[in-house]
Amino acid sequence: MNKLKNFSIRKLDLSSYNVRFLSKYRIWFAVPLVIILVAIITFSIFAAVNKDASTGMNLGIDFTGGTEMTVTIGPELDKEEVYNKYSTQIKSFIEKKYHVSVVQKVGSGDTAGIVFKYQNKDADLEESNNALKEEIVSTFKEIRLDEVKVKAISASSAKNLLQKALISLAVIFVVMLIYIGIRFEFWSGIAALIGLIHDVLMMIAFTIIFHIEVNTTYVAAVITIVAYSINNTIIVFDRVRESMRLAPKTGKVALDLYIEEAVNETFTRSAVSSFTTMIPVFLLGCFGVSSLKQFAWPIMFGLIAGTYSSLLLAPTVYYLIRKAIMDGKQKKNITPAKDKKSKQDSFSDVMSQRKRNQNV
Amino acid sequence: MSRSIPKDASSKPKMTKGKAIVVFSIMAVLIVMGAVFAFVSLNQGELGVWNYIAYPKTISLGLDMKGGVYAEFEANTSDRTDLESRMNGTVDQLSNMLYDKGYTEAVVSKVGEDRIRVEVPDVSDPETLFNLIGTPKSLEFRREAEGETFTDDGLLVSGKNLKKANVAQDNDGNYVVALQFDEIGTEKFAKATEELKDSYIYIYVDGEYLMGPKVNEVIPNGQATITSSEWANDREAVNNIVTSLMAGAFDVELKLAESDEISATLGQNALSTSLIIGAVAIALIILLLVLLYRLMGVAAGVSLIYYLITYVFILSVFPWVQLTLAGIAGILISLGMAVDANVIIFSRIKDEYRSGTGEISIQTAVSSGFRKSISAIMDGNITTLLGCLVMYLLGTSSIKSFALTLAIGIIISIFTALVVTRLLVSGMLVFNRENPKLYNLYNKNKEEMEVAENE
Repeated sequence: MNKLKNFSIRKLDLSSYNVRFLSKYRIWFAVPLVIILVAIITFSIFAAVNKDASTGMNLGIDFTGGTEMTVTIGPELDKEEVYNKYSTQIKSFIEKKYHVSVVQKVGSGDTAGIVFKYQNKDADLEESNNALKEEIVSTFKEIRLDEVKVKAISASSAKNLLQKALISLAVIFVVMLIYIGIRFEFWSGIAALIGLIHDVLMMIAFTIIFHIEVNTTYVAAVITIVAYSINNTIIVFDRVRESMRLAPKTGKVALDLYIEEAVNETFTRSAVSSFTTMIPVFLLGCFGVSSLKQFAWPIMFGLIAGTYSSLLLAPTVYYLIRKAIMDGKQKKNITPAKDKKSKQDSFSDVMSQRKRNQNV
Repeated sequence: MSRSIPKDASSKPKMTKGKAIVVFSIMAVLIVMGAVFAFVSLNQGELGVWNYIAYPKTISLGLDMKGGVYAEFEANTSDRTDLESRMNGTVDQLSNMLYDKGYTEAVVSKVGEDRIRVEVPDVSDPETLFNLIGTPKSLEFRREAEGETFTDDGLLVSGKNLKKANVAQDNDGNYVVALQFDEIGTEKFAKATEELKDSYIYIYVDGEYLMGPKVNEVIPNGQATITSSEWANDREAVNNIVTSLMAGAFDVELKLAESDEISATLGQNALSTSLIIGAVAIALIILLLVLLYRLMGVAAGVSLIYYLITYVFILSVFPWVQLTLAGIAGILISLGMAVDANVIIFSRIKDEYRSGTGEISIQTAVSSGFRKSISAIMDGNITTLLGCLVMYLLGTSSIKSFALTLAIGIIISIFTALVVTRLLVSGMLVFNRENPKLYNLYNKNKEEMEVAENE
């Protein structure tokens, strides 16, 4: 109670709290697992309703491939109202049958036109596209048949991008593991890596749950989050490293206390930093143009996931790994029967000692 | 790394009032100049004697932002062996070539199984594109001199085995054509130069004679140069030869199918909206920082403005830094990291002051706060920079663009946080280092003492 009285937003100081979160590690693992489960269920529902597994995720035209239709209008297209008229009318016309993902102005002068990209999954692309062409020409009398051109878009370049991105991610993971291994220790690297994989999985899960369209920009968003989240995790591990360095070299190491202290001390900083990064992303997601919105929301989810993994998941994983190693070493020295008890003793010893220190 | 920073934990300020005023003035002048030159353009005769365009206007935008030119090439599919890998090879060749010519945002992609699409931003005329990549042709290194009839065994090396041709300079500074063959080409070329030493090898593009250089020596390593007194001082001429050679070096024969201009997906409208959003976001961030850290927040705000001006300046000055959709993400995240570096330092200073024993001075807390933050800031940013490096080396053009903007942002943000913010805070301390409330600093012991006194 006394602690609560001392708290003030003005000071934004949570460090005196020393929240003991490590013992609740089951919760920190359960939250992402539940989200993944929800994503799998959402995926299955979408796939089952559409009777097509590829619809579980809202893949954009970059990944599915589709048709590109160019309608040539002419010089008057430079006027905004003419462009708006044709782009909205033809778009809604195509949308009766297919999902339009891109509307774009091309050319200038006599060749000025509008490009519509839509996902056409009909078996005979040529036939259905030609039929659509005829319908457009008969609806918009001023457009001639030779002014409407269709062609197929392949998904290969997006797949190429995805492939390269996955390779880059794998290499990034290895490079970071090596760097963190040198500057910190190998197990911090593993813990940080698990945090990063969590971030990527969470982004994918959120994208499935909210059925956000995935295009090539999404790949850039995922990489963005990996780059941001590793930075956050390092800050926490830096504190752990520092308090370990100051810790007494002999005797029992109260690893959990050092980690908890490091996280508690960096919590304010992480909260402020994540919040300031979210400000521009959130504004872009709400008020930006559509292609930037598509980009901003996955990044927003990723920032939340990244903060979560940096503050809770990665330190917890690091603690569990180190604890397992410590326990393993103890087992070698102590007879198995006494093992459990002595371990508890060692932790409670340190904790009570720590409490005493705080009360002084 | 921390060794390079003086471990000044003494409570005596390093700065004098005079020095602090000089620092503040220089910073103010730089900011004002940066801002003025960002918005004002000068025409000759109006004010100055030279033309000046506000530097942000020279930022080069990617195809998705600015529009540009695209062309689609159709491959000759009569030879279907390894078509897919040869197509992919050609895509790589084309993108490397455009990249070498400074079109870092050019996008080359496979369309369907037999088409290649090339998109080049910032070029308004399709003609320019063809001048750049040349109209793809066939290239042959042959035994027969000009005018002689081709025979079946006359083909020494096919252009497909030419990996790269580029303009180079020899030791005397003369321009030369440098050739590099692939594995098969190297073998064939070594054999040909051995056989034809002191004789000639003739180069044909689309069956037409281009030139017949003399073989001076056996070339076993697949790296050859072609020199001539005709073009020794003419870079343009050598460049033209290189372009026509490279046009024949593609793994598949290409024919232009179509080309057109593309107007911006996002358009000018999107850019101005993004700029407004950016300005509002930065204003909110600075407001938050000032609320949390008072005078230190002001210092961080100034250093953020520094960060922005430097960033925009670099974007404008270096033509190979192009702004794309993915690039905007890089800038957003690096902005977050720039703020982050300041927040790390300030929360550290607060920690130091709070847990400091006895009569801890603000100066001591600030000095050790900066010192102890360096390892976190450096390690965090170096890991991210390593990630950028990998993305830049392995990624496709949009990933490259993201990596580049993020890396630039990180380097500037390290500078602004560790140098600009530090200078500003040190300068402020000269004028006021007695009142911790101005920096939103609290000391545990002092507070407890106060509470005890009140009770």
